[in-house]
Amino acid sequence: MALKLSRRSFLKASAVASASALVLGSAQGAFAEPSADGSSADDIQVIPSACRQCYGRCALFGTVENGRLTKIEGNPDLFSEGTLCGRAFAIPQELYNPTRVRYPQKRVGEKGSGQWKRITWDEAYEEAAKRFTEIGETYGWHTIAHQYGTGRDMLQFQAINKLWLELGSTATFGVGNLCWVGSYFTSQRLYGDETQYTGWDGNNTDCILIWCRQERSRGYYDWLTVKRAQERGAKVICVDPRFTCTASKADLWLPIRPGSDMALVLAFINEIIHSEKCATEFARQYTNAPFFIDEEGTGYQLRQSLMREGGNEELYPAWDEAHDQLIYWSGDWQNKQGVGGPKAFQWLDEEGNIVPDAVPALTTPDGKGREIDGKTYRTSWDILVEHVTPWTIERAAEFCELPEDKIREAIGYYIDASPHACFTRGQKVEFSVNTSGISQALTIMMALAGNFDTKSGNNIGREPATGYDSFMFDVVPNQQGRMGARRKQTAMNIKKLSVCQNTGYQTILQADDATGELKEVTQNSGGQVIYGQQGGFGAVTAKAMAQGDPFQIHGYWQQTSEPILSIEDGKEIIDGFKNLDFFVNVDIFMTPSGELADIILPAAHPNEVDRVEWAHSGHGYPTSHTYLIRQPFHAPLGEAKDDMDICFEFAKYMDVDMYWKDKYEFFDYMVKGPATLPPQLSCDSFEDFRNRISVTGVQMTDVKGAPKYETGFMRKTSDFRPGFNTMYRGNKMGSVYRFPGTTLPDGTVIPAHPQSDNGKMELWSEDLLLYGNGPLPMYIEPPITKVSRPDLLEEYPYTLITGGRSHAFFHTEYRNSPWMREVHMFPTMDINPATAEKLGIEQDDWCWIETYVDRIRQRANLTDAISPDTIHVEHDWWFPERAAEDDLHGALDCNCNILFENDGPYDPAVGTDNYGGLCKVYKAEEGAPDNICMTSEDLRIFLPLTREQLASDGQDEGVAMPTGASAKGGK
Amino acid sequence: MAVQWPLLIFSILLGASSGIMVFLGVGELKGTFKKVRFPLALAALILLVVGGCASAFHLGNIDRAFHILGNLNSGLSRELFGVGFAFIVLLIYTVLARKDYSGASKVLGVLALIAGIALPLIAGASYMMPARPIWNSATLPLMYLGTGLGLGLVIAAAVVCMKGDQKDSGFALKLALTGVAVSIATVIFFVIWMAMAPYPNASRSIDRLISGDLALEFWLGTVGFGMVLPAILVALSMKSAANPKPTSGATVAVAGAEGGNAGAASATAAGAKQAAGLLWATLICLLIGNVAIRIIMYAMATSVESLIY
Amino acid sequence: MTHYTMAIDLDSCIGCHSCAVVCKQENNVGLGTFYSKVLTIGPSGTYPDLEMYYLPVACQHCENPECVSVCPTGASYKREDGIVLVDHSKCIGCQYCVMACPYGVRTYDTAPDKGVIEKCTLCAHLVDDGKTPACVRHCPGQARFFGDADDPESDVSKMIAAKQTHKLTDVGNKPSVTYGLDKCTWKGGE
Repeated sequence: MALKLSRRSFLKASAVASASALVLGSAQGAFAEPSADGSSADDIQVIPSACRQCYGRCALFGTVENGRLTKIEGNPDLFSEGTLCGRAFAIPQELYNPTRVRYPQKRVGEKGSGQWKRITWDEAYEEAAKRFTEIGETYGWHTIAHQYGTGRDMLQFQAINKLWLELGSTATFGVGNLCWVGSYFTSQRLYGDETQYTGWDGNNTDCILIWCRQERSRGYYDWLTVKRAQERGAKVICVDPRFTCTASKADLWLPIRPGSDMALVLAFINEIIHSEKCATEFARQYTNAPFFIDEEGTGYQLRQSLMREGGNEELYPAWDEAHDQLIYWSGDWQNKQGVGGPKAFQWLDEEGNIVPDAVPALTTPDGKGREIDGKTYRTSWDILVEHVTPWTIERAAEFCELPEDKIREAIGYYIDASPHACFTRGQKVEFSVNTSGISQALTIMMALAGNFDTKSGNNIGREPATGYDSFMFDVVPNQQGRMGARRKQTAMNIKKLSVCQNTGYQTILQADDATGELKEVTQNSGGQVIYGQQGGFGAVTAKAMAQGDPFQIHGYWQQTSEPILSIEDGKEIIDGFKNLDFFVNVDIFMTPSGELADIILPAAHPNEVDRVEWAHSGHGYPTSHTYLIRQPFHAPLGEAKDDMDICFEFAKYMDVDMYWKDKYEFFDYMVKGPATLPPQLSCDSFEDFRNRISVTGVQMTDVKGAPKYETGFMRKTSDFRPGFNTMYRGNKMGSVYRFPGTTLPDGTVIPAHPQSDNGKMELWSEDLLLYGNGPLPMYIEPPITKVSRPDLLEEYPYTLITGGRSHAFFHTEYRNSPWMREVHMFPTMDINPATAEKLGIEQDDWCWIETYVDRIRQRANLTDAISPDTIHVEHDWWFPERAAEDDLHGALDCNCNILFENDGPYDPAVGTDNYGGLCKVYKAEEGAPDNICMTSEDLRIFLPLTREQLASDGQDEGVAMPTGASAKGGK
Repeated sequence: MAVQWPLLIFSILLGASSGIMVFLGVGELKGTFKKVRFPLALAALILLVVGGCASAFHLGNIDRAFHILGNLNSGLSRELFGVGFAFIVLLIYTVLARKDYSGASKVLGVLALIAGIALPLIAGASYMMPARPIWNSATLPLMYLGTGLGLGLVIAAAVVCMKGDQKDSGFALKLALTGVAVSIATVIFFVIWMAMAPYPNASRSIDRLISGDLALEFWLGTVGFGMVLPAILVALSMKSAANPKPTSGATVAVAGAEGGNAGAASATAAGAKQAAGLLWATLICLLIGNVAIRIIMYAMATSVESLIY
Repeated sequence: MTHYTMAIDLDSCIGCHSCAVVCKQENNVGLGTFYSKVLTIGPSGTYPDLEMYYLPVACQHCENPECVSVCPTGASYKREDGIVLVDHSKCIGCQYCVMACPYGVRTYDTAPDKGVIEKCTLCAHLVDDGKTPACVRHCPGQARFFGDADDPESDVSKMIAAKQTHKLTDVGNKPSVTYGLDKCTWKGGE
């Protein structure tokens, strides 16, 4: 790796030498069994593995003494460069935590009573199979919901997903739609790969635009890239309402008004489009900008078939400036319409001959349209330019409450550096009902600045190390026709079986382009598709469980997730869980929602299982191209099992064809890669990969010596087909978006629409039109802001933002870790000192934060990092030290997501709800919630159990949860 | 910094003990206070021992105390040596005080005088650390000395008034008055230092005393109990010793009836008793004042940069 | 002569507390005690014109350590290579050094079996083994540098040469840890 500091060579000389020796020595001993007795001679192993304490997946070594993990150290040989954040060192505290579930449990008391008894795995599986089958056969399989959280990893997500899709389940609470799927989904739709976070080339760039992303939330090693870029002279721009660590390091900080991001992006696009730097050749050659749009008719991209009777639906007309003629882009890569084969992805003339030197025109005369066969059509470029042109810096300044000169400076940096400017974002950008739109706008910004696929810009392809990514788990069996009958039936009838069937047609506050005036308009949502699921997201699944709308959910399988904390209106979710006939929870620890389950299955800790691992949080090369081993430090504690194994085992009880014999068969396939893979990147098997520890692929730009789009790879993804990842293509089978022939409330009938996998990047997006977002990114004011709800201001005068990432936690995790809690003891509300003074709030006062929906308590931190009219509260707080009967382990007292209702609107495409609003704040005279740990000393109840304690407690009566009361009683 | 109660108690008892030693030393030099020197010496010894025991509660591993010889430059080691020296002097002096070895007693009395002055200075000087600006001044050991003199001399004078020769009580009261005056003066010096110490910071600002969270400790404890009341009470005690007031009509009648010298002697004795009572009251006030100024001394003793703890 | 110390580049520090936690693992530090901590300095100014940096603090391994001068037993001592340590077998827990330290980086371990003073050891056990302190090795910002201040080629000396440097307030103890800060105004004493 390039750009190592001198410090690194020092490390090389010392620590690394020993580390590498240990690596070699430990490869065989990766499956250390915990020794039955501690009396054997000291057996010390140092095992290379990966961290799963956040998305960053840093490379580490675990020292295992006599079968017990005693130490974590960084592995200096991989992308994380030997660095590790605090959470990695909490791994032993998680492994041996007193709150861990080590044996299958069956609830024996009321829901939420905390009364459990141990059962065997066979009993658990048999009962689950019996009860789920009863529900499926009585009410329909779609009345069983399933859920996975932000994931112990993507591979187990695949196993859970496949198991339950095959069983005919549709509803989920969703997960990525809170934070990540908006951009992945949108970039898939627009150019076929999921790279809005990843692939930013900080190693070579001249400018990094960081949008709402913290250096220290996950994958901290990215900061090394940013820092080195700055040292090289690159400008770093940070857009964030809060003065975060990133803002403090940036060359320029734009303290944007929360939720107004779209206005700023549109101003970026406007300035770019009207600058000399605008990548018009890229737009001309590689995007659908020259395509005509059938504005008067279907609203879709014009096809020859829409122009004239008998026309070809795979031919997209455009005007050839070079020869003054109509030309057609052939998107017929499947050769179903007779213009495929060598003619696919070529410009053809009327006669069907390839026009190699075609120069498709971006615009029409005066942008007013060109007459073809008696009708006038504008290009999608014309429409885009018309859309963004009114979004001036002045308007953005007004919408975003930013000084014009700062916006001008930021856009100047970005344009000046382009095509050597890159962009990276955090997840808060898309915590909005316009998440797909904002992702589309950012895509257009990068594309038109010419930064796509340039060295030092943003890569288009994610290019996993071996060419195969986790999606192949489902893609391969589907390609081979091994999709089960029930799954097919469910997909065909999704409109009736989806919990989303009644969503959409929602009122939003949208800015009129010409005037900038906010107007209520009706958005024609299309039925949300969540990360390949056939419908379901938090609000709708909660309502289905709690209110039977649109149908009652009866069964539920939850794995690696905690929706009560992570999804809006946790109280309704609790109601829903109480309504369920049968609920299986698979988790490592006792959790709030686990207390409402009927059966808890003990999951292995991520460092007790084998995985192919890779960083998830959006990075540049080499991180983005590296697979590394995550292998166990020892066998799972007690009877805990790998989540993937649980899925494979339960699949047998349910007669589900998982295709893969077990996880290893898929791992073998994945690390071997396609036949075209350079041999040095291909592993013979997972065991070979284990010995190699990691594989780092090569950037396609390096291989081809050219931007990827020029090689044609831009349009190809994990299944090496153009357009979208198969994950989404699979869903199109069931036409989950707007059904042709459906009549919308305004009377419009949805016209039939052909597929639009034409190999072009979509700027004006037909797919987003079909999903209900509209073809262009629109400014939508979030539903609860100063601007949209002035009627609330008198009572709730402060803007409330939530969920800024904490470096001590990963969502709901580590509240049971003494070290992490010690670093960050309490849920913390950020408030400006001037505001605090006005409200009589002092540092460390516990305060109520109240919205028109509900109120929570957090502890005040007085900081100038936040604007005087804004309050920030932390997300996902609960208190494992509070008993199950005590507010479900304290799941509601400080949980910011109960501050928001779940009645929409939602992002039409992916269902993201609104997680910000207006609030009032006042001192909580009651102080802290009862029974929580208040001091470091109290936290000792969470210290790791000893070998003897673990051996002596078989959890026959459930997990002996330590409590805050016992901490204070000095037990 | 939190109040270190074992050390606070130690320093007050040590001060009182030292003040008594000074009193005894002065007495030996002037050849007075013979009648009370044994109980006073014993009291000083007990105060020193109890104080020493109190300070041991501050230690985590008393069993390793022999290591204290490890660094003779340490203020704490010096303090220990000082206490050891004073203890030996006092012990021998106490034993001798029961007999009549006037030469030896005088020598030891002088040694006690020296110890009584040196010990509070050493104890106070051990707190003089650059890290804590409030402490890093000679006013601190002076305050230790002054407040110790106040306590010790008042105790000793009270004992003289109660049990000693009547003729000694006048001088004893003068010493008590001196003690109280020195105590007040040195506390004032120390407060002035706190107001002008370098590295100013809100955590050790004089505002905390004047109007902040330590105002009660300062105005009531230090000024009220530590200065105003002792000054008034000690003055009253001198006045009542000089012009004994009848404690009741009956006493006056009895005194008047008996008349003569006996009556005068009786009046003097009554005056001394009254003075003793006022001196004990002075002592209680001084003790409160001592505790208060030491609470302030710890509370204000933030380090230059308190970064972790 | 060898003079081991640390230099910390505050422009690189992201305030993640990794150093505080890895230290607990490496040195078996108990709950409630920190050898190393990270302070947030600021934001100072008025929103949105702000500056902020993070200040990792631990024992400064002073050249003229007050804690050593005041220690009555010699339990606190300075090694020839500059590392200031506490010999727990000699420590009587008088906490005199805690008072003498200008930075509040020493803590008294009240555990029944301890009763001694704890503080950063500069991972002397690792240094003696030819390694770097655990916080230096793992720092996510690569903000920490360890080495011989007397060797101009050491990582410490190189950082010091490359940046504007600051020390914590010196009251005569001469702290040896150097902080580099170019991007913000140093808010500490000099």
